Amino acid sequence: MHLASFIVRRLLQLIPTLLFILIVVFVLVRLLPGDPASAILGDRALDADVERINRELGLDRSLPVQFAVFAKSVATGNLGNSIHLKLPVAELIAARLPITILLTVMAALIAVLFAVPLAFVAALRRGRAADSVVRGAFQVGLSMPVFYLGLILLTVFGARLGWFPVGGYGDGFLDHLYHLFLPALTLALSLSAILMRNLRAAIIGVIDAEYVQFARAKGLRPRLILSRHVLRNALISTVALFGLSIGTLLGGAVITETVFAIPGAGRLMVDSIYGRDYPVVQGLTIALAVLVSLTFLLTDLVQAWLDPRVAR
Amino acid sequence: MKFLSAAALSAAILLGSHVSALALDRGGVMTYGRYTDSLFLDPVLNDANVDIWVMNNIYETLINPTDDGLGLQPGLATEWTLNETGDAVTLKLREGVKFSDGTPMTAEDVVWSLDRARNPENGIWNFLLASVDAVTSPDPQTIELKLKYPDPTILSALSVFNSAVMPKAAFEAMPGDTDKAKAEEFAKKPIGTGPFMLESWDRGATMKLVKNPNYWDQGEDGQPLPYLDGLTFEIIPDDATRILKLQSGDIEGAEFIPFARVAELKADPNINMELFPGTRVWDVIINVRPELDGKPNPLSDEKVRQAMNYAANKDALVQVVTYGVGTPLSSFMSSTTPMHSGDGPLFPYDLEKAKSLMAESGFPDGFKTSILTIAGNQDDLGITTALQQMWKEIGIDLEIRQVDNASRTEQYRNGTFEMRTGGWTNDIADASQITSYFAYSPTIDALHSGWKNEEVDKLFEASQKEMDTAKRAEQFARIQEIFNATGPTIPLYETPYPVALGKNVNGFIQIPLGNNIFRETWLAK
Amino acid sequence: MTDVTTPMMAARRRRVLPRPLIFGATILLASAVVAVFPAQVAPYDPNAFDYGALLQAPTSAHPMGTDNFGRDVLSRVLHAYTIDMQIAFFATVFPFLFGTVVGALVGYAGGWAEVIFGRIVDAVITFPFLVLVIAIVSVLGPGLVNMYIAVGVVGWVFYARIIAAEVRVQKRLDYADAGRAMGYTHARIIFVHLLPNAITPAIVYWMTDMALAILLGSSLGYLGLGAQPPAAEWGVQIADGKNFMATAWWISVFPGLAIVLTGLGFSLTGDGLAELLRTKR
Repeated sequence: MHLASFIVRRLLQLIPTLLFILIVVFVLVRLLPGDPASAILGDRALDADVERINRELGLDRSLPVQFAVFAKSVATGNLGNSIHLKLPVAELIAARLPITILLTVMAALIAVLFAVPLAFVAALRRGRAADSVVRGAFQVGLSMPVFYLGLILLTVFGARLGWFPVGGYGDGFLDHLYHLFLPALTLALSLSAILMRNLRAAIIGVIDAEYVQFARAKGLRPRLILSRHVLRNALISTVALFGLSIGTLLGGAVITETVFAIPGAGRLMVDSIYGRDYPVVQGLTIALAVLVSLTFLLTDLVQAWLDPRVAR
Repeated sequence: MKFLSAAALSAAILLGSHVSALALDRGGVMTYGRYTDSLFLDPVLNDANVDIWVMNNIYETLINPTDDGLGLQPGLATEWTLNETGDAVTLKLREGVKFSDGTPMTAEDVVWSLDRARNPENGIWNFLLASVDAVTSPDPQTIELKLKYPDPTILSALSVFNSAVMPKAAFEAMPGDTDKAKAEEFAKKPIGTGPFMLESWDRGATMKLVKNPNYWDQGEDGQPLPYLDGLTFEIIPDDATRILKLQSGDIEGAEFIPFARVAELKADPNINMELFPGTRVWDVIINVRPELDGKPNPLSDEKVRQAMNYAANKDALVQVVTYGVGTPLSSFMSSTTPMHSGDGPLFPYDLEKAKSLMAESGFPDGFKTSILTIAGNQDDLGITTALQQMWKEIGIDLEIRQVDNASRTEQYRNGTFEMRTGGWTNDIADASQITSYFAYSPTIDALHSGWKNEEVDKLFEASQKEMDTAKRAEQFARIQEIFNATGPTIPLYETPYPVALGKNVNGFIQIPLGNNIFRETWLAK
Repeated sequence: MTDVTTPMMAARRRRVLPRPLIFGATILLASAVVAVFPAQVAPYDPNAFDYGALLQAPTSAHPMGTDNFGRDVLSRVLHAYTIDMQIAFFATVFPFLFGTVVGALVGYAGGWAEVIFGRIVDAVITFPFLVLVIAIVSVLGPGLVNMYIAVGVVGWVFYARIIAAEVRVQKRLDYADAGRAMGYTHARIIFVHLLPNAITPAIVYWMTDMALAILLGSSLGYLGLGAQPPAAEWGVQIADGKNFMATAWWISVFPGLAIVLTGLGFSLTGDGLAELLRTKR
């Protein structure tokens, strides 16, 4: 029951956060110069057409009224229709968000697969050549712009060598995984660098900690120390960091999705901001907020499982 | 198009790869990489080129533009006559045309479609049919248009996408109370008479079209068109990725190849780099209002604008920005527009003349000004970076401001910009549309520049009712003469549509108005 | 138990400066010199067109080749140091200062301040950072100053979060209680006693953040929302050369390497600093 109340409390906390974000985003997108009509009509926009379209969309009303209308429809489970695509926003999100989630999950897995073993190598061989090589490599990864890395991977492994498809999303689950591998790798590199650095520091911290020194002095086998103390404690901070990185990861997905031509939610968000497609921006904001909050919740639960003291 | 496939075939014969003139291959699915997805596949209510340029594969009009964009050819109507006074059109409908769902196209569908297209409540294109007073069908194979006044553009207007024929019954059966609501439903699974029909549409990712089994026309082999079994549009916004996918054979064609890559792709033996003549013109639009933001506007000085024009080296721009693909403009409208006039490049580069014009102007010491461009657009960036350097020579300090499209449109419509980059493509094979936007002040203040010329306005109004082609051409010639000399633009260059195709692709064409035509496209096996 | 010391720890104590710090600081120092005196280092005017030398591959006259306007890529890369180092500093210093103060206050006050702050943190990390910055820059208009504002509006939260957590720990320690017992003002306790002890992780993060700021700045430059032409900026240069990857790779590749090198400088410095401060503590 303790766990259940923890989850419920966290979900309730989401409501004010969501409201806050929604108001900020609602105002922000309307502060953007121009409106959906001029965004879509562009140079051919005639005043009469722009006015007519804005009237049809209810954009001639005051902001508080617009917000009330929007809040009311959200409360009844209706996110509205996309202005440009003429589709229900919920339908769009259902089509696009899973792609971004899959991309992000793959990137996270790849990042962990890279970071964990290398962090151990670096930490246990601290100060030696292996440590320097690993740290150097990851620091380069951390400093590598996503758009630059993506372009290079695409050119080399996609076009030159033909090992991977050059962008796109494919048909069927396995094909999706195949298509998403390079973009996920692109996205994973900087995350794995952050994870690696943190994990290495955490492992060193634990190794240097007095209780481990003590265990070692007592003659406990290093392998046992590693699995019993070091791994668990180091993972706790990694999981926490991981939760925090989700926003960065989603931000990186925006650029990755563009470079690799993946029809995900990140690209939809930026397109909708540029297109002043207010309902889509708002709906996606809600969806992303819920997604990120659930990720936080999940990482908190994993942390609590690893270290019962966390779930106060 | 007939011409093109014949040319492609004779080329094939010369190369010896095919012996028979009928050696074309049927079947297969072609994947075409587009830079962005369509939005709304309704001929009447759409408002963007991304829809207009592909819709002809699904819906068809009574009259079609010819492949060179200058003339007209039969579409769903086999013949037509415009009466002598120019206020009535009679069209003969093609027999045996069916919609993709198998129902026959009737005169009732045509009348309803044209009435919907000209309804002033519907969309932004109804102005094209503004002269129409009534559409009737005296017999099942005949359509009559009665006009309010003589309209020299009416036949061209009937070849524009918004007058495409849709099935009335199927449309009206859609859920929804308003035309708009029904259209939004209908456009999810459109039904037309075109060579293809929509099978599935994954927004922002892929649009899959398949062969319309009921298509009325036949190919060179005597079998029904289209040759392709299917046509898939894949959305690949990044230019570099789109090209890589073509090179790796994932797709068979890619639109909007950056000019910088044209030469390289021309040299690629596996790729057919096409430059289809377009109506695309590039210019800088100048706000010529006497005051801007409460201060006197140096750009309102005609001498200053002429100096800027002479100092802008268009040949250099063509080289640096379009890599030789473009041609300096000889008028504000493209040379592919009917009634275009002008034979030499406008304001050939002459720095001395530019300097002396500046010295004679009200701003001999130069001034600071700005230009709005679309963020991330490499063509815009190339043009403005080069102009920045060129105008430095005559004392003009140009600040480049990169904004998104909606922000730019906002400042444009409010008339608060100083300068902006501009691009234009005709939607109709006639000089009137571009002239109305560029030069005729009542439409949008001549590109929102605040420029106004009484003579131009009068000439344009006259041209809209002038049925004598020669006289009309004279009117447009005079408009172009005035606008080109004193207008609110720096005319730069015109460009073709750069499309890269796989070597196995034949019979594809993009016409000057921009429409992508896959009707007679086939893939060599 | 205090006498349990590994040989490695002893070695580390003996060495005065950690190696990453030496490498990192050297890179940063060199970068700073170039950033201040680009014209002295660069062989050409970074904005001068040369129509006779378009898209030239690297030669001895142009070690990094020329771009599509015939501009010298090396000179542009060097001049870009001025802008990119500025971005690294200005995009992070205000968030660092503001975030530190807010974080210290929040961590010290606890209670409602912490609850409200928690919601703000949630809100900020919930929305993709880059998307938010793009939206804010679109409202304010493109350019460096507006980019700093956009980054600052969001970025302070991360510093505040780190400081708040540290202060929360520190204030439970004895000396804070002692300070309160001696009747010091809250401000004195926060800024004289707690903050100096809490600020280390924030400084380390600052270094990483400067590397991230260069990435963000160049991403926005790449999208056209950062530095405005003709200014040379690495992200802008990469975007300029994007279409030439197959034919003139040098336009994009060298600025990309400059980003990586500078980022490496910041991140090594941060690493070394963390190590140094840890051993000092």
